[in-house]
Amino acid sequence: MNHQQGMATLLAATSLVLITVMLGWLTCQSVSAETTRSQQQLFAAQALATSEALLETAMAKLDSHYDTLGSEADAAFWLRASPNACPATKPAPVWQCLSWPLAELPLPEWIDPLTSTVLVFRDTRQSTQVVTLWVDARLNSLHPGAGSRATLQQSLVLPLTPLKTPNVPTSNPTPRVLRLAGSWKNAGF
Amino acid sequence: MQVSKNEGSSFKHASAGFTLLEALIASSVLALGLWGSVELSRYSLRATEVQRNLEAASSLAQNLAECWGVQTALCLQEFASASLVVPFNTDPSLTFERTWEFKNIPIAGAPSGHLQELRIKVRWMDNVPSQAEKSPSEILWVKRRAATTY
Repeated sequence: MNHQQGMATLLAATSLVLITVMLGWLTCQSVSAETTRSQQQLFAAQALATSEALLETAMAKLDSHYDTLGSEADAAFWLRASPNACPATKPAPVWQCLSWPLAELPLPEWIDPLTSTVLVFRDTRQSTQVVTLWVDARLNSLHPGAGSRATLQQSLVLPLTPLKTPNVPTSNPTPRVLRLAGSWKNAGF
Repeated sequence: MQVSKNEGSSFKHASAGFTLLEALIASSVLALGLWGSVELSRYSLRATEVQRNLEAASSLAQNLAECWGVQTALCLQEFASASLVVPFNTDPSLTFERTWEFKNIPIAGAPSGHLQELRIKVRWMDNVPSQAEKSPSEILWVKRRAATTY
């Protein structure tokens, strides 16, 4: 009888241990999943910040280009436009599209130049002054979240013709690239 | 009858010892299991703390980055405040050192300052689960801004 009681105690203890270990393991799995989720969220946020940096870089370069070349800037910039660069929803020749070579831009340090793109396009039926910048950025291997990506869109008004009205003095500074409202963001991992 | 008594006594003594041994083994197994469980819990707690600190640090960096160029009292205060900060809802003894620097990114043909970069570093001490001592952690946040019209 006592022998059986001892066996029962051992069995109960072993069962308790097994249950405890299982619960501990499940807790660990839960923490691990939460850690991964949190890290991925951080990587996505950093990918978004990096793509914003690339977008700002492209805008600064565009602004500088139009500021430096004046009236010739537009023709010079769109010279490299290609129908192949147009996305499916914006077909040529209605849309004019340019995939901007990233080598021309001072890239933020975490941008992967092989998988990131900067696309500029405009609707030739509408005002050609209004262009849209699409930035699709992916983090490179220097970042722990390599592969995380984000996409940004920003509409701009290009200074194609100087504003010359009687009310505007000629000494006014050159018109600059103007941001339009309605940009959107999307980040993933 | 006598023989029977002796046999009975001997059996009782042997079975009592065996039960004690089993109870000892059971206790040891239970203690080992509980110790493992406590260790797992400690590991989980540390991992959660590390994650909480990382999120707090990234929030601090993002707060400052989003405040760049915003001329509100709260945002100006963010840049004016000391670099040692204690975020809300965390351990009061846990402090984050937040430093930042501005850089001009040169753009061909553009004047200096046409494209600026803000680099924010947040440092803190972490209880990494795999290490006995606290170890320094750091996060870098980069934001750029073009001097275009809004």
